[in-house]
Amino acid sequence: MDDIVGDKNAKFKELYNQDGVFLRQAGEMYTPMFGCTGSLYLWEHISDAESKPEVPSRFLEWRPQDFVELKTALDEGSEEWTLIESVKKRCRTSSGNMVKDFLNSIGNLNVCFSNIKSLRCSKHDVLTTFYDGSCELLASFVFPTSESREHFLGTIQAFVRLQPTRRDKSLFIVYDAASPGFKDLEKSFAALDLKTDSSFWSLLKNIKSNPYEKSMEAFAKVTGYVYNSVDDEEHYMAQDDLQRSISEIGDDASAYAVYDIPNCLPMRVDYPRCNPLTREQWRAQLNGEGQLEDVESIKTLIFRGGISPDIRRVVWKFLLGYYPWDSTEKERHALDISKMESYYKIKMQWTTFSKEQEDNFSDFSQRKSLIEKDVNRTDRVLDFYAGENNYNIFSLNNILLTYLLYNFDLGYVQGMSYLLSPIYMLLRCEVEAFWCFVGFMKQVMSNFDYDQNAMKEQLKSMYLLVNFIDPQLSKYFEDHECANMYFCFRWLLVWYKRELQQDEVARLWEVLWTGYPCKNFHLLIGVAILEHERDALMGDNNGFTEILKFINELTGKLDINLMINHAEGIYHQIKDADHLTDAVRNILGIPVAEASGLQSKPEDDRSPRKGVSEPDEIEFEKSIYSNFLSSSTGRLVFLFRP
Amino acid sequence: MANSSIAAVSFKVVLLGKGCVGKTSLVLRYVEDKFNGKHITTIQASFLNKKINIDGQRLTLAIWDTAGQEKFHALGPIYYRSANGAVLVYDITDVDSFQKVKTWVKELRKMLGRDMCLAIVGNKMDLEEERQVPVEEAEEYASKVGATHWFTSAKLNQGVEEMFVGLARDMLAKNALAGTLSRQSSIRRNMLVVTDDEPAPAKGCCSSGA
Ligand SMILES: Nc1nc2c(ncn2[C@@H]2O[C@H](COP(=O)(O)OP(=O)(O)OP(=O)(O)O)[C@@H](O)[C@H]2O)c(=O)[nH]1
Ligand SMILES: [Mg+2]
Repeated sequence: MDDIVGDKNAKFKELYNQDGVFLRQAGEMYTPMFGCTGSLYLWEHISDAESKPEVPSRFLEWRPQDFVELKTALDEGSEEWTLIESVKKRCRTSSGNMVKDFLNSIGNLNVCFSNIKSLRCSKHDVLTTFYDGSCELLASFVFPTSESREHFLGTIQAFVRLQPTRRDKSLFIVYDAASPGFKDLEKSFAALDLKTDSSFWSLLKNIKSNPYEKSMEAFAKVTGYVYNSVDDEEHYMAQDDLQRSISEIGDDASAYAVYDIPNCLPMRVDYPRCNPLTREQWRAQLNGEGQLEDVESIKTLIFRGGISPDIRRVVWKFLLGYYPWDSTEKERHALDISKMESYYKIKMQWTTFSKEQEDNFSDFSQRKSLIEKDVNRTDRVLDFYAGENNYNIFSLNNILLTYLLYNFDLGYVQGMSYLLSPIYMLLRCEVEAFWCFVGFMKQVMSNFDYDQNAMKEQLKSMYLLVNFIDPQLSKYFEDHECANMYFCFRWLLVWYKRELQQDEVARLWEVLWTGYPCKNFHLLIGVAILEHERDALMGDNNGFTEILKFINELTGKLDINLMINHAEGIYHQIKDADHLTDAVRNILGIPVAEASGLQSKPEDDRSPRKGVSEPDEIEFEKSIYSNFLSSSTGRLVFLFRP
Repeated sequence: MANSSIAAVSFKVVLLGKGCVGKTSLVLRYVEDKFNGKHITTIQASFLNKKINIDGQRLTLAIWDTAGQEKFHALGPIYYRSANGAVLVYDITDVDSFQKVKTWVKELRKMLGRDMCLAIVGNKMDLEEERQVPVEEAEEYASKVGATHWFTSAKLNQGVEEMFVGLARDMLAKNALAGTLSRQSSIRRNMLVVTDDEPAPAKGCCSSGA
């Protein structure tokens, strides 16, 4: 490392000082100090007539903690340390000798600031890495808090410009602010005259009340404006201009912004959950024949709020195909009878097997014993299935054996008992539960295929969806041997049954059975969970093992209504994204140019809508954006996380 | 031996075997000394750590419990990959489960060679009257394929600890044999994913537990 403070007479001003900074990595010679905590300083050389030109104007210094203590002790009795100037908190200059001695003995880490050509600081953790011109790592620090890092970034922006790269939003090119060309760009941006737009100003004024969110929205506008029309450098400049506008309004706002670049997803809109479908709402839809008048609106209500437990028994039979949606009361009555007859016919096929026959039919008897072992391990903690010789366990066994003969090619696969358990617990009738189970299995049968291709396909889709809405997370999975997403296997195999309480499972499944708002919505539930837990997933350098453990331990801790809510928000973000790819479109079954995205929204006033994001407000915000853009050719790019 | 100079060693152990032979029961018995006749089918692998001390050598066993359902193995060898030892469990009252052990042995030997220590375990020895798998056959087979053989009852807590400790001793011996250094590095690779770039331990920004 350069002999930075070799000059005896050099004087330094402290621009930044932060304790508790963890050194993650640096040049090899500092290896013993990796993982140590220390203090990070940014020094500025105070030039005077005597100073030599070799002395760098600014450098970063990191001192390990015990060294800092030593220094403080020395500090007190030392005359060579003279306090000459005060910049913000505590500032000090020192004569070169002392510093040099320290450097020689302990080997502080020094980085000449002008060597830093790029830095990486992602939004979601406080790791900050500095690189030189050939992209070699100079040093990598973990700040104790995000505020301390923001302060640091704020400090250095007094003399450098940080330009995010387009491909990797957490990587910033470091430009010397004094370099030529800078001023020109500033001018060209000013020519766009953004600030005269009134809606833009009103947005900026909101920054005071909610600096982070509002300033990010504002950025979305500006980046959107310039994204397609000007080059990267101007793109950056737009933000810079805005940054200054913000600081004119509120000080705290300036601490955010600038180094954070939005993903190109539309803003997340909250689609509040509603009350469950009530008996009255259901009855109101039945005509004289007992036929449902408006099936779509019923499904919408179910999707929005689920079903109130007192009519679940009836409605599930429709959702699972036991009754057709357009059936009349009379037809349903006839169906009850025919379904009962055919159930007992199939059931009889195995109840009449003789012992000998069974012994000669090993495919059957093996599966039979597997079913028996499995039902004995299915939801036994619930009162309904608890205790020895429980009749309900006996019924599960009957239904699964009957299903085995109904669909012998599929056979019995572990996990299936979990799909049946909530259905039987609700319906409490072998015949009805069997046919409803058949209906459910039609949707998820391929999960249990021998080759497991359907499961692999879903895991892959899950990865693609994560990659679309949160590339940083998918990158993390990829870098940590988790891109196979195996830790989501159980979620998808039995539709989160094992992660939730029985009433939560019922709520989730009835929502999913509506088929709204898109194909494979159950994948978006998982994406919502992963996104919700993203920080924990990526913390502590987790690998596959840790992530699997973490996911397994989420059992019983999920707020499923919130996850449904998020999943719907994510769906709309994806659907409305400009850069929607065919792969993602296919997963969710989104037609190429969807005429209306209102499918999942309540169509009328009967469905209560709660929460802060009233549709009007959302529309209003959208119109602000489009007003703003109407005079430009640029494409609007929203933020993923405001 | 060289072992004593190692501060702490970690081994990855994976339990394999047909559904319902008692893999989860064995792990729970060993790690938490519990037996629950009514627990649940394993659908997705999980793992638990157990710290032990053998003749002054401290070691951690990272024990992976897998799903017995055959179809779930189509996803690939991810769970046994890089394991130091495998516990292949069968149910002494279920002939088919013993056949499954043989399939596993073949697969493991094919994929991982002789690097891995194998323990073949006949579980549910409390159901001796219902035994279907002859003792001699099982023991003979085990010695033929270079595995140790054990009888256990997770229910009555018989032979469980002995089996895991026995396997740990085998792994230690193999570890010493393979040369401490090279082996150590591979163990470390198994236990810890070391990556050089991107996210750092960002303590306190964890949003879980909501
Ligand atoms: N009698 C007896 N029963 C046992 C013993 N060990 C396990 N069981 C029972 O066997 C059944 C299956 O045990 P598990 O531990 O769930 O089996 P597993 O191998 O983990 O099964 P999968 O998770 O399906 O692969 C349970 O009902 C246990 O109570 C034992 O030593 N003796
Ligand atoms: Mg198990």
